[in-house]
Amino acid sequence: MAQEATLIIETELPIAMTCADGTGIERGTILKLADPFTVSKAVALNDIPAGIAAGEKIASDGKTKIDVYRGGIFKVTASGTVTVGVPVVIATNAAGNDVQSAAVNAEQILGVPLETASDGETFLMELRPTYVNLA
Amino acid sequence: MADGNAQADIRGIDIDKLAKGFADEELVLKKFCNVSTTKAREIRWYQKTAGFLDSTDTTGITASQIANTSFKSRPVVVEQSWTRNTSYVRKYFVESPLISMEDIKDTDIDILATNVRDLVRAVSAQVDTRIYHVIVDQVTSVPFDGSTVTSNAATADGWDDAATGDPIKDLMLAKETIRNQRYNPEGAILYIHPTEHSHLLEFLISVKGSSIPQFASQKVQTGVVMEVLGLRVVVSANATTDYAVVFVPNRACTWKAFTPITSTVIDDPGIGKKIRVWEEGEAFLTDPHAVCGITDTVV
Repeated sequence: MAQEATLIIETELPIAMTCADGTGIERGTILKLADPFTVSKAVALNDIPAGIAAGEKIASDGKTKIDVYRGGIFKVTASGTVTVGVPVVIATNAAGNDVQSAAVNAEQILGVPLETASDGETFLMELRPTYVNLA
Repeated sequence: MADGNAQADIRGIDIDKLAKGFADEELVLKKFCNVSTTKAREIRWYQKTAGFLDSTDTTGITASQIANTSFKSRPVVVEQSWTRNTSYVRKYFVESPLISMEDIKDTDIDILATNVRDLVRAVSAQVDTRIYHVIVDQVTSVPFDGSTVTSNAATADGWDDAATGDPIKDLMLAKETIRNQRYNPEGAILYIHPTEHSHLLEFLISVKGSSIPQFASQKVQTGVVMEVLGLRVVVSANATTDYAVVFVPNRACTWKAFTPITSTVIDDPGIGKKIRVWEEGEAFLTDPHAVCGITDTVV
């Protein structure tokens, strides 16, 4: 897939999370989280991050589980400038499978950049889905 | 809907399971190194000062005091010196992601074996690159940017300059440079990128072919230069284009192996397997004067 999130260092194994049977998900897709324990392809800014697809889900293969990385070091693509150490979130144009720098007080953090990158560049990100309530 | 004749769903397909679309580069540099083992990650080694020993010069006395001295007198004192060097072992390490046991079992191509082979080659390629960087004294970004190895700029605009370029002269100067340091350059390795090989052949056939018709005709037939001016030509895409290097094999560079290349398959029962490959060692240039570079070989 274009702009696939690529595993660089495997710090932990993926876990099985629930997904819809009817929709295909490619390996390396940034996933959003929904209730209960369900993932799907992220589509919009500040979607609740679930992780990154570790394997491919074939549409309508009768399975409702997909292997999901909840941690690790990945190569991902920047939408706009990202800065080392400043958390990133699922991007506005998440359909392109990229991420963007978190706004101040963002509550749905996907991970932390390990290097600075400009728009369209790839960079190393530590996947670390984090949820906080700042309101 | 059920299908009948002239409908695609009931047609068979032929799957060619042999992976294509790649070519392997030979990784040859280690065999041109003096290979030995090291017991520790820190390696101390000594470099003998090059050249013949002679009496120490003063401002006023530069002639050798060894030669043609007087009878019944004490001799001049002369001794060898060494430079102490320290090198540190580098680790080359890679692993695959966890490959599920289902993928290993039913994937058309043999992903486990292919990954083992190619991860081993990935490590070997990095070792090869390291040896190349050591031989060409590449300290920061380009060959010969260190200050240890002598390099000469190619004649005129380089080997693809048909009018004034002269690779033969450049190679002879490299041999001369090595010979002036008392090393025997005959049988030395000329390690070049395919671009330089192409320009060298074009020079020998198109530019100088009329001067050496028999040789040029033979090269037109074989298409390769295996040996030129007593140098063994080794062509590798791992070499950096715009540079050529001549070095004395098994003399200029040493590879100290701490851990030989090792691969293992880590089994996670019921889930899958992970491949891990590593090698530890370091190359160092024991004889920098047995190497000579040629820069700016391409316009």
